[in-house]
Amino acid sequence: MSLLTLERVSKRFRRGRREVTALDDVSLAIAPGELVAIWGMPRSGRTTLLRIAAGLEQPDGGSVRFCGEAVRGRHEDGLPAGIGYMQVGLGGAGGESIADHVAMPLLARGTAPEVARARALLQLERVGAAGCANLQPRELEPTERVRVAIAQALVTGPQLLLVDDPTSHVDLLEREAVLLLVRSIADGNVAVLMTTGEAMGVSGVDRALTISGGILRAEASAEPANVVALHRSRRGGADRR
Amino acid sequence: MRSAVNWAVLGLVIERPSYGYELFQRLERRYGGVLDPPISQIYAALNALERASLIEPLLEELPAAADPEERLRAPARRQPKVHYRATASGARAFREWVADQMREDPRHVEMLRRIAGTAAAGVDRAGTMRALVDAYERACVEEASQLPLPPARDGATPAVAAGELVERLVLAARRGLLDAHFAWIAYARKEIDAFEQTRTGRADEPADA
Repeated sequence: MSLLTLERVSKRFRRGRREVTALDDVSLAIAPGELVAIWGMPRSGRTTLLRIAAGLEQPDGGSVRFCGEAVRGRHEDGLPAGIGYMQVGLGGAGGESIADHVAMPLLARGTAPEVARARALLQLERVGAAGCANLQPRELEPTERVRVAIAQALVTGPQLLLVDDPTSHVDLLEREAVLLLVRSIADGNVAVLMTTGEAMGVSGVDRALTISGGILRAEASAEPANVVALHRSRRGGADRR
Repeated sequence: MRSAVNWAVLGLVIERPSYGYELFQRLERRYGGVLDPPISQIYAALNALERASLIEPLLEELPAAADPEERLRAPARRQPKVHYRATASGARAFREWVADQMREDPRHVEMLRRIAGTAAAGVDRAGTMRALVDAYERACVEEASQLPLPPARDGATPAVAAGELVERLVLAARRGLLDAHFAWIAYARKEIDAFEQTRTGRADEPADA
């Protein structure tokens, strides 16, 4: 069964007197633990697609279901339980540590502060940013910003992680590490729907699609043979060490 | 020489002199899943490369046979492992081949040729061109999704070994070409839309967001 299903979703925005189509008849299903990447240029509709999947925007037409239930209008604060949405800009006032920022979604759900902080530290460790726990947001490097944002999106223990273009502001040599982190999250049985603007973002995913003009277009799945090839190349990588 | 296996074998021999079975193993480690030739094809590649004077054999050093006459008779006594090394012209040919691979992507040129053919043919030009661009995009996204991510660097030391460096650079070159193709696809779609709109006379085009 699909974890997330978008069926014939459309979305239009008003820009002054003009109407702009952001999504046009988009249908998409994500299975549990699947890593799906959507390649698109900026203004292709890719972010609107993620925001609608997260329940942060309402579609004009069509339906969005998560675990079989309609996402539309279900939650006042936007994110349904079970969905994490990665946004690189961390909100909140200055003076708080990264661990406090990562713990925020739990605190908002009424988790006890010490429990929330312990879980935040665990997630920071999981994403390779344990060393950032006591820093402040302005002290972070771009890659750390992405890792911390992923930790914050994971802290509530979602089954689906939505990731919006995680590599765009990251140094060239660190992009693959960010994408490997995303891959490892999916391997840990959290489904991931990620947008990307570069070919690297599509490398090694379970399924890749493209979007332009608000329309989902090309789709490619990892063939069974390819899964074997990737598995072998990973094993080869491990052997060398 | 068109066989990718031949070029891969030449590349491996350039890295260090090697013999048939070892080359088979090294090729599997390096290109497994991309190139999976049977061992007979490795020997065929070695023959082809030797005939083209791109590699040359080195007999295994036999300590007991210092005398050249003796060394010539040695293969008769036991099966030697024939190591091959690259010749100067082999190294030069390989450099040129790698440069060529990066410079041209025949698929892209073929795509442009087909689009030009469609434009000349006339019937529903925009629709046919759009279908061609869609098919091309499918091929590109399939290729991009099948490229592996490079293995992670060891945390503190971002440096990688020489062999891995070459792998990373080749992967980066392939990804770079795909990025260029994706950008071209987006551009081609807009051009085809604009072309169609001038023909149908629609003024207000749907923009994307």
